[in-house]
Amino acid sequence: MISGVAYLRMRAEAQALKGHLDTLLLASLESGPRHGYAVREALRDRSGARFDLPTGTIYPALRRLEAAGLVTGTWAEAGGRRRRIYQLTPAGRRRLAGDRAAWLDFATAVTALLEPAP
Amino acid sequence: MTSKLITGYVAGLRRGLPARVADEAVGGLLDTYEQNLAAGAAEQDAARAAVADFGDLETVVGEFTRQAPGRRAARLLLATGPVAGGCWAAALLTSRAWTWPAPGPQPGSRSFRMKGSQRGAAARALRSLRGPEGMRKRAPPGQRLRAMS
Repeated sequence: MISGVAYLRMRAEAQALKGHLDTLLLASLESGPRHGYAVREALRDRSGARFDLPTGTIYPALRRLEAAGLVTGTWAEAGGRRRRIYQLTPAGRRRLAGDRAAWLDFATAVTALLEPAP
Repeated sequence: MTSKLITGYVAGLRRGLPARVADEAVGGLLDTYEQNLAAGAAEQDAARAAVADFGDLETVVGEFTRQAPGRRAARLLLATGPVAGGCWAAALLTSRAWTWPAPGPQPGSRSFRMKGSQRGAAARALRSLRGPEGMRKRAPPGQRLRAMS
């Protein structure tokens, strides 16, 4: 059972994540093709269980990325079930590289500002 | 055996989504459910956790619908329709489309040939449409401005 404060913090983080969801999904596919549930698990594992997104939000977002030409989806048999497997397109890799560079710039600037004044 | 809760949620997804999209969403839900079972949860607990994790049914279906290509195409048409209409209007105005001949059979074609009495009837009909003075010509811009002032 999670405490009220922890729940509110999770909700706030989920809201903050929304703006970065596409980039995080692209990053989770960088190492290779994955189906929707595996993408969700990759996000949870790589964030140390901090980003545990509702599974129902992952699939529509993957469809949106596919429609934008950033990932491609193909049906395949995996784990005894037909699943849609997603992988990055060249455009998806370019977008991820751009988003990553922009985020690192932003994070560096914010970190510098948050450093205690000497 | 699959929980009634899962069966009901799956039915809701299939009602609200196209078959292929629903297949994928259902697969994700079952993955979560089976993962919970494998972790040792009782059937009902596993189902409740899977449904809660997947998200509110209406929200999930709504999210898929917002991403649907048909909906995006409709939004695109709504956004670009007036622009396309404006372009057509501008093209027709600048080329004075009202002076173009009315489309009809080409001279020399079989359907174009009229007998003398038919030609006379057609000419009389046109004259009656134009009125006694014939069609009025458009006044030059200078005269139009004077008339407006």
